[in-house]
Amino acid sequence: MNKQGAFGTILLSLIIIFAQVFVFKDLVLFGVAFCFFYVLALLLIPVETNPMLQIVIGFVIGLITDAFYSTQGVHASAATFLMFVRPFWINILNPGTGYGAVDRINIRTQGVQWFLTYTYPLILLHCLILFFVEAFGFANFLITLSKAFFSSLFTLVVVLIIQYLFLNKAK
Amino acid sequence: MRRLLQFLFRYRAFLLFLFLESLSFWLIVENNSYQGARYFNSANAFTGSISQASHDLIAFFNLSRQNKILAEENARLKSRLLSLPDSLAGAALAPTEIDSSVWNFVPAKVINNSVFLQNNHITLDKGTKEGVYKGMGVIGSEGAVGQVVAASDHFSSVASILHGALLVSSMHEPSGSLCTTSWDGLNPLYVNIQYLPRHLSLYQGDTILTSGYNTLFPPGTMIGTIEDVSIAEDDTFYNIRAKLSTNFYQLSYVYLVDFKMKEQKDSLERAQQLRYE
Repeated sequence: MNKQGAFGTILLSLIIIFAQVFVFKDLVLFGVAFCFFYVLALLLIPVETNPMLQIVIGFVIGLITDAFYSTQGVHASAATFLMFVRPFWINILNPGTGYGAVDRINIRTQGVQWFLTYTYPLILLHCLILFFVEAFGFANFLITLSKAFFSSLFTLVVVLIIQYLFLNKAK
Repeated sequence: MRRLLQFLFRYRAFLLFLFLESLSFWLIVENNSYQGARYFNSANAFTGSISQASHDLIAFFNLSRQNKILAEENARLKSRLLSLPDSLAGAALAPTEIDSSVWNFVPAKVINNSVFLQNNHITLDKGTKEGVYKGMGVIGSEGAVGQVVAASDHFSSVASILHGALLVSSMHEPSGSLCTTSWDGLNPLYVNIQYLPRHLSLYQGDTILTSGYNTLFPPGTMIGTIEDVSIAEDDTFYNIRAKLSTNFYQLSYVYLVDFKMKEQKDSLERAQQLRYE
């Protein structure tokens, strides 16, 4: 990844985090569907970034989000886990020819189908870990599960909307 | 040795992952016990000022409702003031429980709030510079709200009653029996009342107040009213669901409670405990 690309990625991540803590933090539907739009910043990190660096980025972005939610450690643990699992998931989804020069992940270059199979399981995993760690156990199991499920759907919808909104211009 | 280093190098990503993951779990455990340390909280200068900016934007659309709540509180206080002279006659014999020289209130604005998590926190726009300290109680115009868990220069973070680890010593008003208020993480409008024994007769609508046994809230601060009572054949205590008097969805202005005798009371009780241990 060249320097300019790295700078662009960092800037994009910052904008996404700000959007998360300013707008999407207060967006809770029916008390169960939260929007953790900031996972987009993690999901868009270029494929060939050093895995160690990816894990650290996940942890840092998680901690920043935690500070705003007053949930110190909850988002950090979920985001770290997400970034640990992501390289394996990308390998499994490898189209066979490898990712080649296209290190940027977005809905246009990879197509809707690939993008959905890539993002949704990761978002769901993130939400599951987040809510079960937050509940710190399996009391209120069904409520926690439904929170995770509906939040993952809501987050996915917002991620897709944002992808379609901002990628048209870039094209 | 070489083998070990090779091993460590090969699994470095996994080891880093384990390390960061255990670090976050340690942070979570600290956060979950309500006396634990908060390192990354909404009370630090950076997150605080951002929350403030975002709140200022939203607060504008809330003004009329806020006005109504403050006017209602004014009316309530005024009516209490008018009824005061009558009660003053007996005051010499029975001093009022809430003494203004002992209880001091610092008004504060809620700039960040959550109700849907298991452990909910509120951020206020007052900090140590305005006399806020860790452990202070927080009440709203409608009742008890929570306890300060971290304070920076200008902001403070409060564990609300909707925090799983916060237990409030309370009192069933008609009978005067002590009980404990806790939250089960399900519905932000209701709390559980524990340890009311089965010989009491409880009715829907009975009020639950804070007891005088803690130094958090002034004794007799409203917590809620009983909504639902059940008891199994062999249980000693009732299962009670109470409706909170404070609406945490719409919390905007609160008062931080400074109990001047807090240290005295706490240290005396601690000394007492040590003696009997």
